[in-house]
Amino acid sequence: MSYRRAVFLCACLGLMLTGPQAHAQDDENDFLDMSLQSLMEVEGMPIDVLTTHIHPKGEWMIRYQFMTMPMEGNRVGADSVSTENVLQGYKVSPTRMTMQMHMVDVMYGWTDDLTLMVMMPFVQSSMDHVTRGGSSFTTDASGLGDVSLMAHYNMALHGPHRVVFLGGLSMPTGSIDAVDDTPAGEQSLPYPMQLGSGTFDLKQGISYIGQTRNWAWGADAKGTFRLGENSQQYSLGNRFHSSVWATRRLYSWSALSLQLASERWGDVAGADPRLNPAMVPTADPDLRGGWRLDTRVELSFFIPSGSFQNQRFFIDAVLPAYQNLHGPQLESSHVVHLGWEWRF
Amino acid sequence: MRISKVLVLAVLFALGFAGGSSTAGENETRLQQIKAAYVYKFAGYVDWPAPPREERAAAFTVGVLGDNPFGSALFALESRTYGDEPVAVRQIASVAEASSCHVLLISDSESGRLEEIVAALHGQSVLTVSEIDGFVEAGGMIQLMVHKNKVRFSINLIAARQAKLNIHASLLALARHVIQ
Repeated sequence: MSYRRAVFLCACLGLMLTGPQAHAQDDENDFLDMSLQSLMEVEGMPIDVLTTHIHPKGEWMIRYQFMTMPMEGNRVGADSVSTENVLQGYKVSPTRMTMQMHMVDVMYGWTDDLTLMVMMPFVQSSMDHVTRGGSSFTTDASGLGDVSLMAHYNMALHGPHRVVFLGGLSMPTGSIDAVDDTPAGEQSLPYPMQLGSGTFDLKQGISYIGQTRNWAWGADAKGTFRLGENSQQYSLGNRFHSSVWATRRLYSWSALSLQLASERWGDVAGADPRLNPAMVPTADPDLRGGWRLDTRVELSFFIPSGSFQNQRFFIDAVLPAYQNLHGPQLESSHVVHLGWEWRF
Repeated sequence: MRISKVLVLAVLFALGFAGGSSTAGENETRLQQIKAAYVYKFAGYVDWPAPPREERAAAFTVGVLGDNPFGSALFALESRTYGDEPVAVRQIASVAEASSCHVLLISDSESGRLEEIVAALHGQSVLTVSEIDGFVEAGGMIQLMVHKNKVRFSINLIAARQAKLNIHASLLALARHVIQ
């Protein structure tokens, strides 16, 4: 991780820990000053800037997220390698990839403890290449990604602590047949440029969440498990995610989150018969896996009342702290999310 | 990384940790504060029989039997009054001390001996409040619970009448369930 990124993260941590303190005490007196009728309208866990994965029975939530993820330069293991180095082993080397995703999620509180969710991504990817002969070209792909059906089950523990169980299925709605023009004519695009996995994928996870008036914190572990091979005789590597995070309410309408996350993913099992793994590293099924340690900073804003009541806006940046890739493989530069959600 | 950069990072990190300090109130959960407020509000909907002059308490007393479930949020009631009387919050060690209280908050930690507690308080003009599951069915007077992310309560009117406590009809109308 660069020095500037480390300073930025420390500054965020400092802001988190030195944020406003008075708010909690004022609210204590607010409850005592309320009439009993008003008190009965107060939510135990505030539906506000602290995201808590709770959707009471009958509540809907719509969320839109835009994600941009540039990847630049190649890496073998933990070491960056030059394009020239890659071209010694391959006729073509990727130099940069940008993936942008528009995601729409719809959630519904089936019961106070069970939330159902549909996640629909629309993917736009672009990859720049150079050839051993010195020419360059770009390939593009866009379309619907894999739609997921998920369920969260919330189990309250003692006091402010909860456990959330996550389960669901990702469906192969994203294309694995994306093609584009290359110097060799129209070609099937390699693994990272395809829009979906082509398989039904099981998603499971567990999260611990704690919350007080001004803080929320948690840890989670999630996995994506590919069920069988797709129609092109391969399956993407399984993925494992784990993280710890903390969120601090800065004011009643804003919060700051910090997260440390580990992401591991496997190589492709099998091989797409349309691809030549000797041509470009992105077509080699054995060079798709890796491990990354990410830091994530999120700033969110909540509108508690008025015409835009119960809407939350957020922006976050994911900064890789460490990457170890089966390479040559393009390394992640950063990820930025912009999002909006509305509960009603 | 150069030593100077490490030192800058260390200073920033130390400032981050040194700058924050949490008060007891900050660590109190919102739900505890809401429930403590309910306990205070209930008193406004209940009439106690007038005690003999020599037995009148100096304060409106809320007793806690067992582990205090609402933490410092309950002691915040001491900043309030009930009529002209200041509110006092007391941790009591045994049911025998409960007779000096106007309200007795019975903690979940006492759920194992709930029957014994209710029997010992029978006929005493002490408003019993608890979050214990099945509290009102076991003879307790007001049970707090969380329903759809909001605090609600059930009332055992029979137990209240046996204790010579008059619970206002307006409170009964707000209850989720009334045993009568």
